[in-house]
Amino acid sequence: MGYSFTVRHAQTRLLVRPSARTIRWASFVVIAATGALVVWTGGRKGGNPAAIALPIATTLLCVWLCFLFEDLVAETTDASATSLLFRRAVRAGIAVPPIAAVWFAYTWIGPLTGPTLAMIGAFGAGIALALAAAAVAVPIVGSGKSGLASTAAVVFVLLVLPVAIGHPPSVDPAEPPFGDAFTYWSVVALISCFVLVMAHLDRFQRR
Amino acid sequence: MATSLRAAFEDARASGIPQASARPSVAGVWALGRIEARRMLLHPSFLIGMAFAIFVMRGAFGSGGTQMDLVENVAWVLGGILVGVLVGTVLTTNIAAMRPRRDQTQELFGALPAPPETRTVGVFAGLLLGPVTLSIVLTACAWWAFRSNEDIGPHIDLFLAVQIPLTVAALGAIGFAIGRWVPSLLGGPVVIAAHIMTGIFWAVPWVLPTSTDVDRPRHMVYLVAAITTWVALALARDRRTAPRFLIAAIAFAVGVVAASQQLPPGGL
Repeated sequence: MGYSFTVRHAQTRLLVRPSARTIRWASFVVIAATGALVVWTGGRKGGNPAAIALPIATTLLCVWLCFLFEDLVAETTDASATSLLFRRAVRAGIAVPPIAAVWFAYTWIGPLTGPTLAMIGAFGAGIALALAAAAVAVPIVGSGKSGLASTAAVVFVLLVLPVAIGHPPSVDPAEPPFGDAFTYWSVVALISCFVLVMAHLDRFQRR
Repeated sequence: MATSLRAAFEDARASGIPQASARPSVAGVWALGRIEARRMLLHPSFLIGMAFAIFVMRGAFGSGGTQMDLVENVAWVLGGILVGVLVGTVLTTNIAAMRPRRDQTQELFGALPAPPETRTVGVFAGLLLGPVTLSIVLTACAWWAFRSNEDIGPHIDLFLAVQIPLTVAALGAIGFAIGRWVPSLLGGPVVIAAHIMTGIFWAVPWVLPTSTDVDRPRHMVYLVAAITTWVALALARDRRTAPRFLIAAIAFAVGVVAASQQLPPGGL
């Protein structure tokens, strides 16, 4: 157990730098700035950015996460002694904290006074959904196209579905299309986590 | 020092590959345009964008307990498809701009006996043959479908109908130019979000009915200037020549002036 932990710790330390270098940070900066502009614009003239602008900005951040597993050097690192799940966990561990920091910063822009539980739930579910969609898309459509495919899934669940079937149509996290906010976002997060784990099983990867 | 500098410049000039002075041939542009039009219209991003727009339009305007007959349903589906064409055009042209890079065929295109602008002009020809032509057909259908609608029918006229294909062309030009200068697949979604939620890519709404009392000639000038700006910027990516940047700058200035002068006193 102790030996295994030491090995994993050493592998993590070795993986952090190359993983961080292959993540698209320039795109992240552009998306973060665009999201801030979207939230700020949504809060002008007395508008409530939590209803539309913040969900759009959240979706943009999740779209960036959809491209996280489009790793150009994956073919090289596939031969290493670390598992795919572990390598992706390292990538996600590097990418998710900056996204969370930016998202919490969004909730302080404009007239927002901080995140509500519904907002946090929707954001967490969005992250899980984006990672699950990206993990499923890579073996199905290939690494070069998985980002766009998973983007479609994320946009559908976070924006299109609530407007298409919601009564009233709304992308506000506090007014999900089914049930109450806590139940809806918990179910989305749980299903996404389940899919994320299943996508890393050998049986799925070998298809 | 001066002699060695002059010699270095002469060597560089002598060993450099001379730039092509020929213009893109009509046959080459036409052939590329047909291929690109098919690929743009059949690309999943275009089709999924249209499907999403139909869902959103149907949910936003068709649900909520309202009773609609078949004609109204068809009309809203057409409206959704038109909005989908606008969204899908940005995505599909953005991807078209990056296709040689993603398919690693840049070297192949570079080896063709044609100037580098051929592919850019070919994609714009594809934009005209594909999404713009589709938008013209859909606009005609929507005109027919909405003409009997009490709320929308009175606002439909030729001025409104002409703006839709021009808007598709403008959005396609934006998507393509952004894709040429910022080769990232995230460009399309970011452009759409920034476009809809912040308006930083437009000065006034693209499509305005006559009933808003907008200055119609100036609005047309604005649309054409926007298209010209982005097309010139896309062409400048192939060869960074002063005239192309100058055309883009002049078109941008004309667009800003037309945008500021077209609105009636007191705004829309």
